Amino acid sequence: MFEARLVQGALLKKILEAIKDLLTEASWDCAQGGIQLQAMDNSHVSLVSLTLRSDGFDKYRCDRNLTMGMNLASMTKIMKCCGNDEIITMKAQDEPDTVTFMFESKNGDKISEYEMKLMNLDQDHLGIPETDYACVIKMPSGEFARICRDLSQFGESMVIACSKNGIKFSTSGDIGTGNVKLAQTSSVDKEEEAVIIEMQEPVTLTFACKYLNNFAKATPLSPVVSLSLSPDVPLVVEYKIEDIGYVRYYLAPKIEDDDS
Amino acid sequence: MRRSFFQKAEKTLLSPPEDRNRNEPDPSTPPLRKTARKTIPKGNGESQKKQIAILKELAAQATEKPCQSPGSDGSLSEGSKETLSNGATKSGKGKRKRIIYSDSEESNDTPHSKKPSVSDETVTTPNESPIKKELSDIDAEDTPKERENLNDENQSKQDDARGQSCEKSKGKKKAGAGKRRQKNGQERNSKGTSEEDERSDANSSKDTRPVEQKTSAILPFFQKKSEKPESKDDITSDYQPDKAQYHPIEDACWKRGEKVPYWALAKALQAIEATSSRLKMIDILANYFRSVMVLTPEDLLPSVYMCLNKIAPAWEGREYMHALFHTCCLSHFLFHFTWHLHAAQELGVGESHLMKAIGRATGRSVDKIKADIGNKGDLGIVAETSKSHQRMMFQPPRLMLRTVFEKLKEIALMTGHAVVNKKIEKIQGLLVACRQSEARYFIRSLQGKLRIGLAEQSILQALAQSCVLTPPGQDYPPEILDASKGISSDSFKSKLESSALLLKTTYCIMIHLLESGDMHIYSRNQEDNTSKYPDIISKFKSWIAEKENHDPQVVSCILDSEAVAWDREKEMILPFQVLSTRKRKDANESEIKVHVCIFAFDLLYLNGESLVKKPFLERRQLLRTHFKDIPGEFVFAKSMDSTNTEDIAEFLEESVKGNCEGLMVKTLETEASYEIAKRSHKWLKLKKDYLEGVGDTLDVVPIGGYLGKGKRTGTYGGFLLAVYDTDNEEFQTVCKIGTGFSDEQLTTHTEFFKKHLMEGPKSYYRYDSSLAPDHWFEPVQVWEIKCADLSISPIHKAGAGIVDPEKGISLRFPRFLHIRDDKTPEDATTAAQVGEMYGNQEQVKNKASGTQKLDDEGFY
Repeated sequence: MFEARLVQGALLKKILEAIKDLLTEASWDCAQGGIQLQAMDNSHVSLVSLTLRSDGFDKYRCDRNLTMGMNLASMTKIMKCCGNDEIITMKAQDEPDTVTFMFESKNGDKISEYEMKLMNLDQDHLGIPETDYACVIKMPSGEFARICRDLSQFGESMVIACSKNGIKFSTSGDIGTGNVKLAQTSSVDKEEEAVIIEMQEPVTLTFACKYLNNFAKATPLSPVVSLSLSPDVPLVVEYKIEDIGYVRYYLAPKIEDDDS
Repeated sequence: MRRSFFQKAEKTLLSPPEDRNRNEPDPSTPPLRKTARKTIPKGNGESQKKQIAILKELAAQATEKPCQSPGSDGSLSEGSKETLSNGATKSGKGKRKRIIYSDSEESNDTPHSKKPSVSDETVTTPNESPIKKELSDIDAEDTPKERENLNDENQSKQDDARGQSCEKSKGKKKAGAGKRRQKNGQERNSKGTSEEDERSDANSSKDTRPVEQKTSAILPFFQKKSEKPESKDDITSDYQPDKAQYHPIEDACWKRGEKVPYWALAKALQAIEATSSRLKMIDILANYFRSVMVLTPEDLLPSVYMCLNKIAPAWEGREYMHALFHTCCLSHFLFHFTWHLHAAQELGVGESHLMKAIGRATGRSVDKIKADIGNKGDLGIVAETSKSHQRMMFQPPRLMLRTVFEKLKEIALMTGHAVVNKKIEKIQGLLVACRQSEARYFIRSLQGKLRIGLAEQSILQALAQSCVLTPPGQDYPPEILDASKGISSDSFKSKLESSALLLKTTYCIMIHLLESGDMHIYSRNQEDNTSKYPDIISKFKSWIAEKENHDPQVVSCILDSEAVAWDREKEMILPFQVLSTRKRKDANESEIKVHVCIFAFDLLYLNGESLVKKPFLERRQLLRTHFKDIPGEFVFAKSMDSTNTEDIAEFLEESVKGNCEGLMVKTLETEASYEIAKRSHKWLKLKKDYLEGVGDTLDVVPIGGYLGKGKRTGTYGGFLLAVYDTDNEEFQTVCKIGTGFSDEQLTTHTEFFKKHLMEGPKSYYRYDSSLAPDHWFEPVQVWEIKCADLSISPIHKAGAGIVDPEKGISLRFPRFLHIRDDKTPEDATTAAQVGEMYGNQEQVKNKASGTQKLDDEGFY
């Protein structure tokens, strides 16, 4: 028996919004400690890793570890039926064929239940090594989303260069070039609005804008985003979800174009 | 090159080294899986930092090296890991040897790889801790000399990779950096030694492996972009369907009951593409089919479809085939197979969409891909050779034939909102999993053309051959693996012929009536046209002759016939184009304006009995007794029995007057069994332009060229032709031409016109923008061409205003004859002449006069 009750139903909606454009289907692994999701997009270029700890739920029960393969488009349909202030409860049997989403309104006078068929997904689970990154940047998530959106108008790929002076995002395309530089915030009033750079050595990497834009869909989840870079390893874009866990995106760098 | 950043967590945990040594990899679900992925241990930060630092250094060294072997991606990182462990060994700890395990997927692919071999492609370290330890070891005792060793090691590893490219046994792990080169030699000479080496390696590594370690440390690969992996990277690369004395079980690269890897098919197709001998092609394909039939019979149908480039409709289940396989005798099986093929549907995805998918999968821009097509002439090869600019998180598992087939089917059947994008995404998902030549054939499958010189005939022949050699439906292990053993080649040949005969299929419009009462109509190219002819279906029952009680009614049949557009008022056949104006799909009976008449000329199957072996005379008799002639709806094709060629010529002449497309000539009794679609002397198709003096020749001017593809890469594959309009003093397009050229002629023409290229069309060229050629030519040469027909065309401009106020006239089936050096472009056939020729055609005359009744004798 699996049951997880989340008072902030909107949170699950936001999480789904943050991953549904990248993934078409994903398996949710439920265990005692919480829910995990790990999946790659269909080109195997990016990876989403989501963790929701059990203590972040209002009520959490998981007798037996189970894996639920869900079609995220179908799940989105169900989540559309959920009001922003409603409470979500996910339920499933052991060895489930279906998962039930129950939405309760705040005052408890309306309860809707939706059952979704699960799929059998044969997904590879990857061991992700803990790495110390050469550069770790914390910045306001809105700012990051904005930069990705703006720069992706110009070209398909974006260069992220981090040095001790700050971080530079740049792109070039047919119509011209664009770049945005952010300097480390000197005086930190509000931690949420600061740009903080921890750097061991400078790094310059190229990424496909398309994916970064998809990552930025997680902006509503957290005011702060952290980018971790090291030469020749995937970029990590992490959004911490308050009190419950995080969503991390990994993105493989592009190989510098030499035939253009 | 696509490199994986992460590795599958379970792969090393689940198969301890000793297991791997002992038996073949077990694909069953790993027990440790859950824990494996859940616990990502916090690494010891410091040693990891060092690890990264060292690896980086190694990477830097490697990239400096001038002779980095292309395709041996991974060799570097492998080398570096190896170095790490070797370094540790050397640095005094002594006993620790390590083995690096190949990707479990990879070894699954090959039943032969029972030993732990290292694939260059994916390497995993068994666990994290030894590496760290060793790293700190290195760190502690890192002397300049050591460094040198490491360098050397790296270099030699690369040499190694290059040197061994065709070796089946790939770079095995060994301890002792200094011995490297020497060992290389040994390895090549004696496999035994290296195997022994490995075993001891494996044992010792077992000792040092802490059991509680759950996650493998995955080192990112520090390598710059390199070529696609070459075949040596793959264990499955030694699948050789073209091998002489092929053994369907031992030479296959998968095991009984396992899904057939897509690679096997790709490899077979590649071998076929490389040969030009038809018999050899059939052999290769038959070998592949034999393996599939014996080991994984469920995959046979997908295999055949993939070879034919067809995707079966969803309702034609695999179960059905499977049942047939076991219950039916061979001939029955084969005959049903031909039925089955008729139900296949085409799968076409637009080229531009494919380019987009390739672009997205490799991170290249569509423009570059387009440029590549110009050079290479084939999108499949472009996909295969496209270097990826986007690294991957993880190399997807190998493609299985069935997965590819199912996905292709999904792609074919997808409909609805934003379907193009969804299709592209699906294609992209598969494309990233393609390795080497798989990408080539996958893309070609999507294009609907395999271009390996393998006609349907040969595929069916191969299927027949494989069924004869290794009969289906045997228990495993099959008793008969090679039926040709022990019998003379002649008797084998005759056996083969008889089953091949059954298999071959016809290209005519076929009406199938099934026992269930369902009807299907298939066109020449086996498209299901059932929905195009609802009128035929509704009327069909009325065509069946009523019978006395003692005679069986027709409950099932296959009728070979021709559908023609029929003018009910004038009782004559309308030109071919009229028929093609019918709605192609889901026509509504009440809306049909163009009526068809069925000319039945053969009956192939009746009430559960195949008639193909009966003489034509008998079949025709059966046809006539079971069906009735209804003028204007269902007519027996008029036939003429003759042995005299002049008679036939006369008959054809008549039939041309009767607006017929042509004649089918069959022999009646001697060898009159139905050899479907075989161009033999038993069946001949006569078209009017094949007869001297029936077709027309014109003198036309080439004004543009289309770049050739495939075989014609590098030359023009087609030309745009024009006639001269003396009134307006302009060149008007009349047709495109692509046939009638020899390879030499094409080259000559290409060279000639390269000297007469223009930036854009002359102001006095009249053409439709949809016809714009790749290159425009000056009007310099006159060609004499021959054509079958002239017809009104919405896109060609010749003689516009003469027969139709806007539309011009075009030529059907133009063929190049020769260059007219004696004429200048202005002396070419004029638009007025073309108009005149159009008016002189029998069909047009008939249509225009309308009064001239045609006798039915004209047809067939």
